Amino acid sequence: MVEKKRVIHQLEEVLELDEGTLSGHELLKNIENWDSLNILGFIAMVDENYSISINPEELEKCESVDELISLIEKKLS
Amino acid sequence: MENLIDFEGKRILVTGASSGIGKETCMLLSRLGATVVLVARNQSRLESTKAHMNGTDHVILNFDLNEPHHLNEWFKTNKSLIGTLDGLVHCAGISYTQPLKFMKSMFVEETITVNLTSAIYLIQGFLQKGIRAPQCSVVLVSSVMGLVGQPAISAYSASKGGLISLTKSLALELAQSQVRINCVAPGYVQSEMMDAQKKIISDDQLQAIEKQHPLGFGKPLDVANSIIFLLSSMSSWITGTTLIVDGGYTTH
Repeated sequence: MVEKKRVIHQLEEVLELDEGTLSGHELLKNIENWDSLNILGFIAMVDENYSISINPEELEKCESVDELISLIEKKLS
Repeated sequence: MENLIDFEGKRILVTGASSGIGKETCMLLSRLGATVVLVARNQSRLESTKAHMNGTDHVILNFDLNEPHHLNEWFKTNKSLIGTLDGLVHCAGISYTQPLKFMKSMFVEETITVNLTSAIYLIQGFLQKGIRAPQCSVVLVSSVMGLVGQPAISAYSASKGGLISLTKSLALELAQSQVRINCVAPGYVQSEMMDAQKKIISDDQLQAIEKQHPLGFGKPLDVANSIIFLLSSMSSWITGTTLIVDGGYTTH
């Protein structure tokens, strides 16, 4: 199991958003900093913190922050 | 019929011999009659390269280029196996794709060390007395990323650009010693390095990169052909230069 709050906090760090900005339901396409460069940083962060690799195709299928968290959970199980 | 590219009786040391451009260079050299000293970290992949080569006298040696300051000693210790070298090719290299703000020092250090710093010590080791032939050629594999920029590969670009400048300085320093030194700068080549990149860039991004190559993506053999040219006597009046082998990528 992955702690949702922890992943959100890590995502906020990658995207340089203030803590508490994200709650989970946000659509990725509406997050200004969710761009190709920050996606690379997110992939590296997930690898470093959870020892899982996510590829861009899998990420493209995620529409919201909650779906990103589900993807991480799925990879961990 | 005149054979302008004949490596019969020549000995060439190739780093990064276990995969990609290095592996292809070893195989091509063997078809042209050379004896090759194959260097990399992975023994089983080196054995696999050797199994695909013509001839049986080729030598496999392990070295981890993360520790390049041991190279002088390594050359001396392995002198009898290495023999007298007519050429040195540095194909070993790692890519590191990450925007600056996410770069980790461990990966930055490794990229610069394996790609650039090790080249300096390789050449230094190669030039020790008794290791190299009176006339010889060094080829360093740089990259188009050492010439032009793209986001998220700054450490890799710095290391590959460094090889180009290193080549110019050493070409002048070593000319009187009858040592030629040149770079090849490949564009995107379909290799294990590209396979690793595919894990972090999307198919769309890869297609966009391919479109920037007028002749499409390259193959390791495309680069190996150019390395062979720079090792051969056909390039005997060429030193300090960078031969761009990129399907036209840097043209526009």
